[in-house]
Amino acid sequence: MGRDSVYGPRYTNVDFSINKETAITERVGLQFRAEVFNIFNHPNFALPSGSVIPGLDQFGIPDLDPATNKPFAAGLITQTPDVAQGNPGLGGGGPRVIQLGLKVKF
Amino acid sequence: MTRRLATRLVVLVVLFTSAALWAQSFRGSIRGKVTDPSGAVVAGAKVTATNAGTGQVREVTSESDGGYVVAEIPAGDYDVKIQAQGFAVAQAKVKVNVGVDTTADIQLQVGQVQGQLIVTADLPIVETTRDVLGQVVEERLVTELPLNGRDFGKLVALTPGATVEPSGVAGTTKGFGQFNINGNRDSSNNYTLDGTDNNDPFLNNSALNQVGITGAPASLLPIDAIQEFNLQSHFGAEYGRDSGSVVNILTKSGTNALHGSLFYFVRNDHLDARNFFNSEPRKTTFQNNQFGASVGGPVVKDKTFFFGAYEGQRERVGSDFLLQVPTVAERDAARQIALDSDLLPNGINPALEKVLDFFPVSNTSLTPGVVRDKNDMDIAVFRLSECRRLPATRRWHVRQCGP
Repeated sequence: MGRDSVYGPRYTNVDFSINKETAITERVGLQFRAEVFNIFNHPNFALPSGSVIPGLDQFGIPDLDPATNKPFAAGLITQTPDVAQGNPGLGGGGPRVIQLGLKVKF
Repeated sequence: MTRRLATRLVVLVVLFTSAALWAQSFRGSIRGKVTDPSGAVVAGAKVTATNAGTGQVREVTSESDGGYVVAEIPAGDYDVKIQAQGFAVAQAKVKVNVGVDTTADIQLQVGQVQGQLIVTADLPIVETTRDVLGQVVEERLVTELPLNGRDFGKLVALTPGATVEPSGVAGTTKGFGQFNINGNRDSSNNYTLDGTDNNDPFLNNSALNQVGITGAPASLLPIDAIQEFNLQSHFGAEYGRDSGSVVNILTKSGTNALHGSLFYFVRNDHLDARNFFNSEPRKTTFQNNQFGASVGGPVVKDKTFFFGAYEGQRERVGSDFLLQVPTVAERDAARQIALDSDLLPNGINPALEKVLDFFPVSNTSLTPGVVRDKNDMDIAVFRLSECRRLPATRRWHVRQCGP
């Protein structure tokens, strides 16, 4: 098999933010921030399982894919990228999420 | 005699320390050429660069080719004044970035009047003075761009040549902050913080903002403590160590004015969309609160400065999983084994039913469940910087501010 003959799914993500700055005094300012990650809620997918032969768990039982209860099938995608990296919500590639912030600057 | 020797030793130590700083620069420099209205070079012009924040002054003189270099100065805004006999005083506002040469060529005007020529020199789009490639991510970008979880490591993707494998599968559990530069491995990046080594020697990735048990950073350098960072994808030999890139992070230093911030950021599943693979009637729990403060100012005006920052994170996160439980058939089998056993002449131990009741009933051996996790983090950064007069050399007068 040649190089790049197998590739993972596309990754599409647009983040968006609006900041509103309000002056309290000449020196002190208040900033309100609304940050939207993956604003179009475009689904992104982690790399699929690359394993064809199922492994065994510590009890010697074949390691099954919990989503299907079948041996891990090569090419099957079961999760989004943020879950795949063990960082659901904060990692990249999840669904649309919104972060609100308030900041006093002087 | 011994005292003199001691002084010399101190001077030597200072010189060697400065040499070490020269080797791996987390500072910047201003360089340029001084010319007259006809374009001819002006030698012997006095160039004075004053840091707008700390008042640190550095003086150099233009050489016979009209060129001048104000080397190894902390990143920041500078007011540059150029004085030469027979010319009007010229002034320039120059922004110095970490690990970058800013070019400010000055053309003097003839006249004795206090005429002023304001030149603004900013970050060069293409650096013409060194054979490096990279990207300076300035404070404005660091603090103003949307950043999920306030993890500056996600900003590396702004650099041309950087690729981030978002699923983290190829990079195992190293998280989003891991990146490949120009096709190098993700462990080929050299991280420095204020010029010092910031690498994890085992995983060979950034020691700060490195992932904890799962993909969430176990330690976060507060965004409000970062002045800027420079990612060099093609760097000078003085950095060495790795083939990939150099990530030069600079923390803030206090200035003559008191500045700071107070912040609170919130993320909550009520504001989030449903995960693509979540078929449950409810969304998975997610709560993230990040809060903190930063303050910097003078201890002694123009001389000693302090800067401190604190950030706390309280994250509560659930992950949807399918969990394995005993099936109805397996429960019956367990009871049958207990009945058949010779060890229990008095019938089934009632504790068996209690144990079986701990598992939800399922016909397929699988039942959906949520694994709850939490990530609590507190980090404080403190930095004291002092400007100190070092032994002056023939070419320039040195007043160095150290971290």
